[in-house]
Amino acid sequence: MSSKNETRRAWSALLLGIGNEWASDDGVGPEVVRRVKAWWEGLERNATGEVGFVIMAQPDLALLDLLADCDRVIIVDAVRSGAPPGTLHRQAWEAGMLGDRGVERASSHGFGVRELLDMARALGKLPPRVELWGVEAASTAPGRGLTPRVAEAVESTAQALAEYLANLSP
Amino acid sequence: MTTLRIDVPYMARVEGEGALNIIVEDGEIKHLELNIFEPPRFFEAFLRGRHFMEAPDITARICGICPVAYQMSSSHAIEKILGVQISPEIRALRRLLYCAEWIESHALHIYLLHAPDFLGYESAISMAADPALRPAVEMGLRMKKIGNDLLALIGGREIHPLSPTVGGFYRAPTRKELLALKPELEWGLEASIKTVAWTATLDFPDFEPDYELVSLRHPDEYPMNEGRVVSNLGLDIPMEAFEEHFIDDHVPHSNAVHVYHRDHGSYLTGPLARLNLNLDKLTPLAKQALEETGHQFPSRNPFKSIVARAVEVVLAYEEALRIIDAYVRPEPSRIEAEPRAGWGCHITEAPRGMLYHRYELDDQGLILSCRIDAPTAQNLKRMEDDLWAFVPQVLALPHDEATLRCEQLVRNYDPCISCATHFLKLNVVEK
Repeated sequence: MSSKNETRRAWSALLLGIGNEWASDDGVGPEVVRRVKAWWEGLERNATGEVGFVIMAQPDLALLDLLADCDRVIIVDAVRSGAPPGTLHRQAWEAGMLGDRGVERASSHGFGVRELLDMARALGKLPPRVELWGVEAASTAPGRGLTPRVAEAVESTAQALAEYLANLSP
Repeated sequence: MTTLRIDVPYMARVEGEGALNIIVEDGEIKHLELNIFEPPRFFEAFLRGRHFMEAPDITARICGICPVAYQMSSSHAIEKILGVQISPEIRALRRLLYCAEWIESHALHIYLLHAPDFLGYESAISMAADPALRPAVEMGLRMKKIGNDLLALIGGREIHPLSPTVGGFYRAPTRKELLALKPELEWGLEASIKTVAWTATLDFPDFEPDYELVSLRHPDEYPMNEGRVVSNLGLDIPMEAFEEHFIDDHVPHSNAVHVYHRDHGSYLTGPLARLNLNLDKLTPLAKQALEETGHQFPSRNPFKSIVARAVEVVLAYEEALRIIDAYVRPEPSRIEAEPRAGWGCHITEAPRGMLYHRYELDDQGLILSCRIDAPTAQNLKRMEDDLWAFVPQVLALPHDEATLRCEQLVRNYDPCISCATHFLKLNVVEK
């Protein structure tokens, strides 16, 4: 969350790890972003642009200003599509792509990724590129810790994200 | 037989989870309940056996919007038991912290949760997508952010702040740190005055039920952390007498308790009650902004709570600027407290209304028992009573509109179900 308090500047990329780490596999987004952040911080600063890292249990309105300040945002989150647990789903976000989660959406407690991106779009704060990296979850039961196949997917997902960042043009 | 059934299985733009179910047969309400299905939270039980220093941090977790209120009520109650006297500097910093919470909570409710009802939008997102209203949403978000920034500076972080504790603060901000926020606070003050004028132009249903308004009242200032409990029906009691007058009751359809006044039944706490009972304590610009609306206050129209909330945002910005100008960093930032056995209670004014905490400690400083009455638990019975009076007014409307009006009525209270369960979906049934 260190990026939240930094002075405003444009990032070439903002990594957003979303999920409740006390709800089993919902914690996969934070875990992946934490790994990538550690790798990034160990690098010699080179020609690649600035990258911001934010880990949150659930999106916050405060993210709107950060979104407006980056060239791209990559949102890493647990997803449920019926694919095998640990499967990585990578896609560019489009309006209407994320389903209504039903009950959660209604209250301000239910301000999720979909609502964040819809609000950012309405306010003209969306970065030029918005990518979703979803890791298929097996369980979101209460308690800490990822299920085995999702835990296994953390390393490969972090690796793919690191390669993605390394290849960003400055 | 004609039956109207209003079913809102999951109420939107409130904090937490609840439903509204109304059945009207041949124009007569047969069934009406706010069903609070958010699970019970058992905080009072968690606290038993815990050290008093943990109470502000644990109870803050009851709410992500108003954690400061929980920290303030618990700290004051425990300080009474332990005989701790805080310094005037700590008192001022606590009031500044509360201003920050009022700003962020009220700005969120006015612009993102409540305004869409008045303007006919499904959500703040659809409101923001309308170019005519986008500037209003942007203004509300910036006003809220200023409250969050002030809260983060004093508390260490925006949600569940770390610094406030029994006796004061683990760390008090420097004068320089606070002065750096002044330009944004000055912008916020101007924006909040515009907000009052904007809320005053909304359409308010003609609805003024007769009910009791209850809030704190302090001789010298608009109430936040201190005062006596007063009402428009002549109640004037010390906080310590709260439980003699206000009964908390479990009802089968709600995981939240209903609190009612022993003598008068349901009552209203929160911005509208506070404003009505403390008009003479408004800060100068808040008073002027309210007068310029042309609306008559005191007012018992619960829909005008959005105006009251906006006036309180002006007040909070004014107070924040005043406190910062006069700020002297507390030394020490925290008064040490030694354990001792005893009983103490305190009420502070959370954004949504009075928040009552009562603790009993043993001689080791461990919590033997506690009672917490959140503002929404106090307002729930008033919400139901309001609906009983209001539903007949909307029966002639198309079903969707009737449902929306009932939801809007509930949202007048800015209900925080998460706080109260320790609540909203609308189910209107017409037969």
